[in-house]
Amino acid sequence: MKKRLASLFVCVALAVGALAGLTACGGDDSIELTVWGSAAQEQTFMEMAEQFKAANPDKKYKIKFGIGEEDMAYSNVSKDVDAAADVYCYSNDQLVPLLRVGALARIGGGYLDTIKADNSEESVKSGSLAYGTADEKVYGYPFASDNGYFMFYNKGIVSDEQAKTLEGVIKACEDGNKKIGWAIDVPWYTAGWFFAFGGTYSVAYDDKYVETSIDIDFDNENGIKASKAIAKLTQSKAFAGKGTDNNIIATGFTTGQMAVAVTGTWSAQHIKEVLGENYGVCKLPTVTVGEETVQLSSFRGYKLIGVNPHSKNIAEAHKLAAFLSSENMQKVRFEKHMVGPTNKAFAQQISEDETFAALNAQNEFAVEQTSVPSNFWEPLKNYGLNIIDDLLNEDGTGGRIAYGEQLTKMVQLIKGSVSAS
Amino acid sequence: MIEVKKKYRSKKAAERISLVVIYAILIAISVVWLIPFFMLIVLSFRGEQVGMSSDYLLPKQWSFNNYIKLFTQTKFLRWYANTMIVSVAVTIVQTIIVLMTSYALSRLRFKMRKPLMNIMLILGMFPGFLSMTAVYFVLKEINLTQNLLGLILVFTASSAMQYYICKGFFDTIPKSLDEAARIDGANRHQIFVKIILPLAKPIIIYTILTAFIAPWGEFMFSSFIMLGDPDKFTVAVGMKSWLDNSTLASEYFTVFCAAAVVVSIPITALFIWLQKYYVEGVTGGSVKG
Repeated sequence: MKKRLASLFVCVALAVGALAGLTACGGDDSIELTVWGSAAQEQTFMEMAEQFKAANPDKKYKIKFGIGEEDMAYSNVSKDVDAAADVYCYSNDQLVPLLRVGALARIGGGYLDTIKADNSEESVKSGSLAYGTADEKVYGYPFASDNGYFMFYNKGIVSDEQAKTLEGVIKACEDGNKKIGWAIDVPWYTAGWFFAFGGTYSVAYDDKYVETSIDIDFDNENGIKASKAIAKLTQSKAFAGKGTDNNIIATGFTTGQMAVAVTGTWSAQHIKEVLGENYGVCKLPTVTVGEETVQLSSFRGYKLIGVNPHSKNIAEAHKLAAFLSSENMQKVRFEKHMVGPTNKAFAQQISEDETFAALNAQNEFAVEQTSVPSNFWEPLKNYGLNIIDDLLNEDGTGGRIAYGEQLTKMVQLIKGSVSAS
Repeated sequence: MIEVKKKYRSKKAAERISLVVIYAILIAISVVWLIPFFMLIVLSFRGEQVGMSSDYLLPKQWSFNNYIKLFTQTKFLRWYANTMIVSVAVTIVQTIIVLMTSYALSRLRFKMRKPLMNIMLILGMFPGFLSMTAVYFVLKEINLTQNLLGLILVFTASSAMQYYICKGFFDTIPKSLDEAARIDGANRHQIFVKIILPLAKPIIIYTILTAFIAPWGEFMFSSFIMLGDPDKFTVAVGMKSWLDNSTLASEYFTVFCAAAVVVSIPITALFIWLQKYYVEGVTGGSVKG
């Protein structure tokens, strides 16, 4: 009996070992590369991979696609940099955290010259720190310029003239009994109001990309003006409220209850379909606080293709990344998924497109989304929520807290990531 | 006389009122409980696309398109097969291990039996994901990451620690049965297979059910171990990947609901099929006392 059990054990152990062994060796001489990209573009990636193989017939490639959303690149890759994809897409706000875990290979030589020559300077800059200095290091092949936001509106409700000012937009929507979808509780959208009134921030890193100092001036006079401007929107009955995400915006336009939304190119296709001839799109409006009128600002982001320095075929990985970010591939992405290009020549060709014209117009007033303080988002989100919930006002009367007081707390929290580390 | 009659009547009336109240509460509770399931099923048949939220419940267009899309345009079948492979393998291995452990702990007496039981109980109280990173790197060393076998290993590795309910049941089976069998010349193995197991049907069913359900809906370990490879995803990981992407989320929401309905089928079927034995076993045992 015991013998039989023992032999059974040995058999099982052998079987497991054999299976493990089988998975270990693939056994041919083709070059294996893994690409991580957005789940929405899987099909497109596979087609691009076929084109890459066709363009390089002298070698045998085996290209696999994995799902890794650009904005989640850090959390996906940092699980195990060693086993992560050879080539992966990331949005440029992920740059510093990715560098911190050593997950991005530096680009140099001919590849660097090509991406600099072909793509807009801002997009190349978004994948690097100390750009333009002797210390310059570039870590990404730019391929998308549309990680920013602007305003969509229903021309049947809001006239082109009204769309130029926040006051006009609010009035048109209040009169028409329609909603404005503007995610004040999402810090990415809230930050633009502070930038508009002159708010700035800057972060310094040491050589391990740990924050050594954070400067941010959202708590001065300008921050209070920005807060007043936000309150103007949130206190209107046209304001759509909290939790205005892409789905709510899509639904709002479908049902016709929403006439204005601040979102990005990812919402464009749907809104255009629904509104038809009434499809309006432009840069963000201006806002007037007291005597001062300013153009609202926003975050400007890019998406890049990074190469994993742990890749076993790093030279081939660079080749693939360069191919995936080339002009032709940007064209394919634009045609299939409305992804805005970084390629200068191609961007010129589509400058007629009203949606991208609006994006470009807004980008002139936008702030680059690189090296954001790591504690930036949560305190700003809470501040936005406080304004929506009407907990704040200018002088702290009537059971409310003064803007200045709450802003000071917020800035302390944002700066807190330095003293904590 | 009249008063007595009145009393009877009022008692009947009181009973009726209390019944009405009780049923009203029960109906209210079951409505609250069933609405999510009802919504899920209804949404899965919704023809029009309006994203995740809408201000009405019943679809304006009924259609099977979500199911057709689910099986033709996505990798759902692949994910479903993966999940099925993992769940079935885990169910078989885990059921065997749990039953054997429980038998040993219930019937055999050996040194360190009590401390061993306590240690297993305490270890079992820690949530499994605490060791997730460590487990991942162990699997990586033996080349089992991004691999279904690795996932099966993770789910079955700690099975023995779930012995306590099963062991409690075995304890209620009279020892005299074992002794009688031993006198007739049966060994431990024969007692286990021929005496204990036939008497332990309900607990075997229970073990199978819990063993199947756990990996069927598991997300954390599966997503960690599969690391972005869509061909190895389980349903939970795959369906979550639709929601991670803002473009896909609104487009795939109704498909997601259809997928959820399909996912719930095996569990429902398994339960309906096994429930007969489950109830039979429990009541059978209680009558014998």
